[in-house]
Amino acid sequence: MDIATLQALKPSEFEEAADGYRATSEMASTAKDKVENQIAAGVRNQLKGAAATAAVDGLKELAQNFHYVQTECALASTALNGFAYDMAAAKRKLEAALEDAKAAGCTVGADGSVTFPAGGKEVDGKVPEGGTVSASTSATDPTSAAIERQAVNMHPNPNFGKAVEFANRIGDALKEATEADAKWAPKLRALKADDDLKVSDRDWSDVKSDQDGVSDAGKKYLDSMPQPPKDGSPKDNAAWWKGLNDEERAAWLSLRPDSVGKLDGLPSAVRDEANRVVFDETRARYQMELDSIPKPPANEWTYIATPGGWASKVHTDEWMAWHNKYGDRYEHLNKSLDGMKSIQARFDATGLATDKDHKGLPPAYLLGFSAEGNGRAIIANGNPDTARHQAVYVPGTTSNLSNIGGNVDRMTATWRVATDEADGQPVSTITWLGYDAPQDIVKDSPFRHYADDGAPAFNRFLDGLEASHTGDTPPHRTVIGHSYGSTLVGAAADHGTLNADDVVTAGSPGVTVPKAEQLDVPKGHVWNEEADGDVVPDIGRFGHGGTDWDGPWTVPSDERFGAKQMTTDTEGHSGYWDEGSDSLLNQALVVAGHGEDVKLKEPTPTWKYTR
Amino acid sequence: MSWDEWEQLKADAAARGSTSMQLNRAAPDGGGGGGDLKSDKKAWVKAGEDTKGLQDDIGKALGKLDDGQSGLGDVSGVQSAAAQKELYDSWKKYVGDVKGRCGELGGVMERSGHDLAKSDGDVKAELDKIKSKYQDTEAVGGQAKGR
Repeated sequence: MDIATLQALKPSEFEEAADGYRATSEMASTAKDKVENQIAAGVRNQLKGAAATAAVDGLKELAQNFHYVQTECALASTALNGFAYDMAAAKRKLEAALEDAKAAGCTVGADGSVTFPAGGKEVDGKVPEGGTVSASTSATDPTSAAIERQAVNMHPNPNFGKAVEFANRIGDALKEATEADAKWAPKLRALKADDDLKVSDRDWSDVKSDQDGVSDAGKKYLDSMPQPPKDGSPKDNAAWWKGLNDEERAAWLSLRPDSVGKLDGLPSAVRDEANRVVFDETRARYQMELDSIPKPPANEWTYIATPGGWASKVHTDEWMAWHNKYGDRYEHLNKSLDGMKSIQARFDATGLATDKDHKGLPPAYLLGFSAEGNGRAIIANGNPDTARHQAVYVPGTTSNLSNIGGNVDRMTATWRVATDEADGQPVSTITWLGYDAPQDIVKDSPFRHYADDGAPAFNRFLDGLEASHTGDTPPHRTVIGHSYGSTLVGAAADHGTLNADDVVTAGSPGVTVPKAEQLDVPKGHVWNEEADGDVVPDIGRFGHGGTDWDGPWTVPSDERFGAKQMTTDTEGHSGYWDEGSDSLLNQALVVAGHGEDVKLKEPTPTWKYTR
Repeated sequence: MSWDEWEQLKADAAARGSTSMQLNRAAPDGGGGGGDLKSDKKAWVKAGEDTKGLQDDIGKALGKLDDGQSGLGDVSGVQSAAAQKELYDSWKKYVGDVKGRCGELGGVMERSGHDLAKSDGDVKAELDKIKSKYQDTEAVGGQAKGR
C-alpha cells in the first residue's frame, strides 16, 4: 500500500459499513426468534395435519436462514471493525511520521523517500549538503541495524539521520497497513454468503472456521476492548457486559460465543444467543465427523472353540480393528448427537400446550452447552431474568448430555403445573446439567467428589441468576435436587452459600449435611419427597448422609433432619415428575410460592431407620 | 444391603436412563388444536401474514446495509475494500432471497387460510414445492466461497 492510498483510506467508512452488517444481523436475530417462538409455535399450538407439519418444517428452515444471516453478518461487522482498527493504527503512525518529517524541514516523496535539507557543522567552509534517503523500513536484523546506525553516526549532516528515521517510520506504517490489508481480505471473502438457501452442516462448519479466522485476525482489535474479568464473580461479569457498547458486545458475541455463553451474570438472552451459535456449530461439526467415520463392520461377532469344548462368543478381528481405531469417538459422537436432538426437540416444542385451557411452552433459553466429555446443558423454560419464580433442577447419577431429554421433560412438566399455580406470575424452570454426574450407580455414585467438584459451579450459576435478574423485586428461587443432584445441592450449601429461597430434595441419598437448617434457606423451606419403593435414600445414606451428635447417616427423609415431608403418590426413584401426580404438584406448589398448600406427611420416625 | 435392593436400584437407573423425549402433544383426535374450521383458517392467515410481514424488517435492514456502503468511495489499492464489495454483493443477494422465501412461504399459508376449498394435501404439496426449490447446491457452494 502506498502513502496516497493509506492517507485516503478512512477507517470510519469501514466502520459505517460494519454498522450496516450489524443492523442486518440484529434484524435476523429478531426474525429468527419471531419465526421460532411466535409463528412456528402458533402453528404447532393451533393446527394439526400434514400441511401444518410441512408448514412448521418450512418455518424451521426459514429460521435457520435467519440464524445463518445473524451469525455471518455479525462476523462481517466484527471483521470490518477489526480491519478499521488495524488500519487506523497504521494510519496514525504514518501521519505522525509525515508531520514530524515536515516539521524537520524534510519533504516526503510519493514512494516514501525522504529528502532532507542541508545542515550541520561546516566542512571545508561548506555546510554539508542535503540529500534523499530512499524508502525503507526499520531493520529487524541486528547486523543491518548496526550498519545503519554507523552510517548515521558517520554522516556530517545530522538531518541524514533524521531522514533515515522518518523513512523507516513511514515504511513501517505502510508495511503494517499492507499486512493488515492482506490479512483481512481473505477473511472478508470467506464470509461471503452461501449460494443456496439450504443451511447445511457444511455451512455451519464454515461459520465456525470463519469465526476462528476473524478471531485470529482480530486479536489486536478484541484485545483493545474491556476484557471479561478473570475468575470474576457473576456480579463482576454482569458489570463487564453492562459497560460494553453495542459494537464491543457484537464483537465479543461473534468471536467468543463459547466464552460469553458460559459467563454467569450475563443476561439470559445474551447467553442463549451465544450458546445457540455454539450448538449449531457443534452439531454440524459432530455430524460431519460422524459421517466421515466408516460404519462398524456388519459382522461383529464370531465363535471360538474353548478348551472346555463349548463355543465362546467373541468380537471378530475386523470389528475389533474398527473398534480400536474409531469405537470411542463413534460412541461419543453418536451419544452427543442424541443429546443435541433432545435439545432441538425442546426448541421445537415451544408453543405446545397440553390442551386449549393451558398456555403453550414458553421459549427455551440455552444457558449452557458443551459436548465435551459427559457434556453440559442448561436449559430454561421461559426467561429467568424476568420470572417471578425460578426453579433450578439438578439431575443425579447417570445424567449426561445424551440422556438430557428426560431431565428436560421433568422441568417442562414442572413449568406447566407451577405456571397454573403461580397466580399469573411468570415462572422459569431450569434443567441444570452443569457438572459431571457419576455415571455408574454401583461404581461411581458412592463417591463424594462429583458433588464437591460441581458445587462451586452451581453456586456461581445461582448467583448469576440473581445478578442477571431485571426488575425491582428479586425472584423467588427454588432449587430441586434429585438423587445425587441433591447431594450436590448439599455440598454447594456446605462449601459456599446456596442462593435460594426453597430447597426440594427427591429420592435423596443424603445431602452431606445432617440438618435442614444447614441448607442456607429459612426454616420451613426445605421440602423432601421419598416415594414408596425408592430405595436410594436408605442405601445412599451410608455414603452421603450427614452426621452430627444426633446420629450418623441422616438423610432428608429422616425426622431428625428437619425437612418438611411432602406426600407422594408415585412409585420408585424416578416417578417424582409424573404428569398428574401429587409428587409433581407438591413440588410445583413450592416453586410457585405456595408452600402453604403443599400436602405434608409425618417423617420416618427415628427408630424405624436407625440400625 | 441386599442384592434385591441393588437390583431394584439398577432397574430404576436403567428405566431413568431410557426415558425418551415425550412432548405433551395435543391429542390426535383434536384435543389441543384444530377445534373448528374457522379458527383453523384464522390460524393459517395469521401465520401467513406474520411470515410475510418479516419482509418489511428485511427491507429495512437491506436499506441499512446499503447505507453502510455509501461512504466507501474510491478505495482502489485496498484489497480488503475489493473483498468487502464481493462480500456485500453476496449478502445483498442472500438476504434478498430470504425475503423472497418469506413472501412465498407466508403466501401459501395465508392463501390456505382464505381458500376454504383447499385440502390439507393441496397445501402440503405447495409447501413441499417451496422446500424443494431451496435445496443445497453442494458442489457450487464449496468452491464459490474462496477459502
